[in-house]
Amino acid sequence: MSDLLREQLSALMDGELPHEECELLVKRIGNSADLAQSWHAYHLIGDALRDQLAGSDAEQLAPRVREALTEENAGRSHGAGRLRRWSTLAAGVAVLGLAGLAGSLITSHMDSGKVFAPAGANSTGVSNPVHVDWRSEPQPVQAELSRYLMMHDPYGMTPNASGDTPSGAATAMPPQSKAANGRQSTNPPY
Amino acid sequence: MTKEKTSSADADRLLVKRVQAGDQAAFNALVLKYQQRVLKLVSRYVRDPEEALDVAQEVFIRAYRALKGFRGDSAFYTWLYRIAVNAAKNAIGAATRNPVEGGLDVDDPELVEVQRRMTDEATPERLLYTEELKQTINRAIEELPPELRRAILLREVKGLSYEEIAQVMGSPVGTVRSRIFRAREAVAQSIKPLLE
Repeated sequence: MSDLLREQLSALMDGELPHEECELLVKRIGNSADLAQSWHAYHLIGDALRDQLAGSDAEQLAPRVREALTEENAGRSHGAGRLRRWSTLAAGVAVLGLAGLAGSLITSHMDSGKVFAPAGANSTGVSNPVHVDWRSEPQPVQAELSRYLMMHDPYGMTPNASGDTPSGAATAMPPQSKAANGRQSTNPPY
Repeated sequence: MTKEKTSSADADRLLVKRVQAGDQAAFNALVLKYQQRVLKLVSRYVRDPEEALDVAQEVFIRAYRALKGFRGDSAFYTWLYRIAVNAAKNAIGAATRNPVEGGLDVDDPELVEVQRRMTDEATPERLLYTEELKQTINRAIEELPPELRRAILLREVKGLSYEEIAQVMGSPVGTVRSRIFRAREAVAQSIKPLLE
C-alpha cells in the first residue's frame, strides 16, 4: 500500500480530503486489509490522545461483530434455501393434485363426450370451467397436460411407457382415476 | 480554485452508503472507528466488562440491521450513540436505569462525557493494556520531530482544521497534511506489536 493512499486516509479521517478522492478511497478501505489496519491504528491513536480508550476488550469488538454478522447472513441464506426447498415441494404436490383432479374430470365426462378444460387454457382468463367437446376439439388435451406436468416437475419424473402422462402423476391419482387412465390409454379420446 | 473538502461526518456518510449497498467490509471500517468510544460509553452503564462487551457488540449489530433505514438526518455517531445508550439502559434494566449517582441525564452526551472518568470500572487487565497503549503512544509522540508532534496534537487534541493548523504553524496546508500523516505513521508503527 502506497504512502499516498495512507496520506489520503489520514486526511479522510480528519475530513480534509477533496470530495473527488473520497469515494474511491472509502471503497478501498473495505477491500484492503492493510488500509483497514492503518484506519484502525490512526483512530486508536486519536482515541488515546483524547483519552477515549476503553481498553483491550474494545479490540475484540470488530472481529466479534464481523463473525456475528457473517453467521447471521449465512443463517438467513440457509433459511431462504430451506424455504425454497419447501416451496418446490409444495408446488410439486400441488401439480400432482391438479393432475389427479384433471384426470378424474376428463375421465368422468368421457361418456358424455365432453371434458372440462382448466380455466387457464381459456384465453379469456375466466375462472369458471369451460365445457369442451373433445370429439370436435382437435387439440391433444392429454398430451398438453403431460407436457405441462413434465415442464413443472421438480423431481425429474419421466414419462410412462405410453409417453402420455408422467408415472408419478398416475401414482398420485386415486384408484378410480388409475383405472380410468388405463381405459384412456387403450381408447384415447383423440 | 479551492477543492471542496469532505468532513469527518461525510466520510461516515460514504461508508454508510456503501454498507447500505451491501458492503459489509465498510461496516467493519465503522466498527473499527467507533469501537473504543462505544465500549467506553456502554461501560459507564454496564459495570461487568464481559456484559459490556456483549452489549457493545449488540449495539453494532442493531446498528447494522437498522442501517438500511438510516437516512442521514443526523450524523452517524449521534445515531449510534442513541442506540448504544438505549441498549445499555435495556441491559441494566429498570432497577438500575440511572447508572450514575446524582441524576445524570443519560441522554445528554456532554454530561455523560463529564462523568466518564469518575465511573470507569476497568479490570486490571484492561487498565494494563490501556496504560501500555497510552504509554507507547505518548512515548512515540515525544520522539517525533517537533513540527510533526505539534501538528498531530493540534489536530487530535485541539481539534483544529488543517487550515487553522497551517495558520498557527505558518506552513502551507499541504505541509500540515503531510506532517500529520507522517506523525500518525510513526506512532502506528510503534503500536503495531500491541495490535497483533
